[in-house]
Amino acid sequence: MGASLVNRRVLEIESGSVLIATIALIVFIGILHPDFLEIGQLKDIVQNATYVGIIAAGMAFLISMREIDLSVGSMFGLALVVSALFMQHGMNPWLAALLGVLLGGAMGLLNAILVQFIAIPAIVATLATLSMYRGLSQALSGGEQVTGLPAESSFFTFFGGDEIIGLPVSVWVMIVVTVVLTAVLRLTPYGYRVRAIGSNPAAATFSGISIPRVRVQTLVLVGLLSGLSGMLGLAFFISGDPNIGTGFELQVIAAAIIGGTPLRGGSATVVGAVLGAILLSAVNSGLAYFDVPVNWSNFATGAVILAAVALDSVIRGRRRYRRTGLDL
Amino acid sequence: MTRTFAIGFALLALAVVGCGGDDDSGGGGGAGGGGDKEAKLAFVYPTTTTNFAQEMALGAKAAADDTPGVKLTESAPANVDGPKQVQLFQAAVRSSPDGVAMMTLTPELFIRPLQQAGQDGVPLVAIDVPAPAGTEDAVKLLIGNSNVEIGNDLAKALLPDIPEDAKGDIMIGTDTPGLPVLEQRNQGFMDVMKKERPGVKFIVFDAKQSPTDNFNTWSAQVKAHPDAIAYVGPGSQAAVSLSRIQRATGQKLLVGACDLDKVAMQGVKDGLVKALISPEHWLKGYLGIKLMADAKLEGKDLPEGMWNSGALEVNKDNIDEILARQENAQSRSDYFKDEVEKQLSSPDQYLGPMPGA
Repeated sequence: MGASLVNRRVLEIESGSVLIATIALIVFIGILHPDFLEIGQLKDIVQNATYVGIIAAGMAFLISMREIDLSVGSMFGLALVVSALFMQHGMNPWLAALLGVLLGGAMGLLNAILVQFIAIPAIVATLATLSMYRGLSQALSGGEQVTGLPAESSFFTFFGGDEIIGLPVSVWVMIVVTVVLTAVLRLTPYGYRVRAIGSNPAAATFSGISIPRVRVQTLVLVGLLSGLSGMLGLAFFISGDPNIGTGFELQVIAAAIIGGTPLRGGSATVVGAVLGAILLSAVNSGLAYFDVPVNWSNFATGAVILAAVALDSVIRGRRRYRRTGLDL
Repeated sequence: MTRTFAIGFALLALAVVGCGGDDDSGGGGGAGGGGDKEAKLAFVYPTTTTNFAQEMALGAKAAADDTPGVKLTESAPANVDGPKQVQLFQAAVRSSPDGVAMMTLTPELFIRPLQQAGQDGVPLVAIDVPAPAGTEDAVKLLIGNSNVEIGNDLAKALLPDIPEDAKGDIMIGTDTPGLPVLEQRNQGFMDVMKKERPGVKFIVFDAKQSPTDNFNTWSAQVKAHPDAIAYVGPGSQAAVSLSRIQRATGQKLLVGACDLDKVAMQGVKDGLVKALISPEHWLKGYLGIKLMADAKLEGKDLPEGMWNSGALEVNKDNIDEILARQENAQSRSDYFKDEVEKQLSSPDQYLGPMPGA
């Protein structure tokens, strides 16, 4: 009876199903390979998820408005490379990192301006800026890694290596972002507008919500988060790779959707998006423990993600039935 | 219905992963060959889809197969993805504490993970690309080639077809601009060519990595520079694209490149490619795993410094032998058997200081 109640409560908390799927995946791998459950490995998984997770938290807002930003990986990369170049030329790393975050916001603003003034869907505008921002990363860096950064600076040691209460600082940053954005989404007028637009754009407009304004705000938010994520990546990797972040866009979108933000819009879960990123990270790390033939590793990755998402789907189904009084 | 579908996928995934989940199964190699000792080793490389990396992985696998007690895990992203490879490396360090060999195209991303692995006492071997500055205490062995010498060899292979008073352009298409190993090959090529054929000029361009982009880029360059003296690539894809272009257009070009892609080798056989310089990647993968296995299982010291495993010019004289060698995993093992024994029996002949040391 007690266990049943706990089970039901877990299912009912926000993103409980993706949380269960993630834990089930980790436990399953851990049963076959106990090394996988070592604290250090679990920390690596969460730490590696921070880059995609933080951006996915913002992407959940955008998807809930029925929009998608394809340039997030390139914004991540360009912010990282530009900050690395600033540092290489002697700028204080903290100041360079702040400029990197702001550059992310500026790129998000440019995306928004393109969407508004050329009147094209965000997915099309950001498909173009994906290439533009990536090209800028390569051009500014001369196609080479930006190295020779002051690794002894407190910026790199704090965000790249230090731990607070047993967790890397970058993970704490992701947790703070998750809490703040969840509050923004659930408790502020802006969050209400985001969900209202995705739920019914016509009704939102009729009720006085400015869709262009909210879209600009959200694209800038995603840009800022991409910049922030880029700075965490820079702190960890201590170099600026002009190709870093390539392919992030699909991982970010996948994390948000796996986490429970539907493509049809109208609702979002920041916690779910972050958990989706952790799930993807667990799959990537977990497969290294198995002797999956390398040419099958991509297939295996997809299959495991499908399995986890399928489990998530089953749990969601049970919750829906419970809510409608049709328990399985 | 949905639940049945979902459970079906879950079972599928379990089957896929489970096929390698047992410690006694899978592609790990020599486990079960007797003896109490076991060496859990890993090879992490940058991509599963490019010839040079596949050759290294085959060599690493062969070393595991040849060494009873070795449990080898190989992992790589499908396409070059530095952060993902870092994650695979971090997992490999935990799952294979007896040693990790690593080849990467993005070495600078590995500073912190390599330092951490070194602090954890995991033996590390860099394959082909030197570990980044700041990781000298963690990575003390590099198995690779002198890429400048590979560039020199490529130039020498083309010289007989270029008149001494030749004037004109040599097109050099680099598929990963900025990658030190390729830049060094280009430098080695240009050094020899400038000295021996002072009338030539070089046009160096980004030829792109992916097969389609590389083909399109080379097609455009050949159209734009139809009278170039030679068409050269420091990587594996140039000879593939240039063979196809010659077949499609009927043009006759002087082509030289590196690595041993199947299409490129067929190009040598058909007279479309003058020479390929093979950095013998198989050998590097083999030696990396074998040396770590011997360190763990036989208590030998892991060598320190750069182990130059050598290179091979492939041309019309030896192409049939090399085509036979590249037929399958066993044919490679058979071909390299003597060379492996020779190098392992006299390491001092192959070991030198680390680059930049």
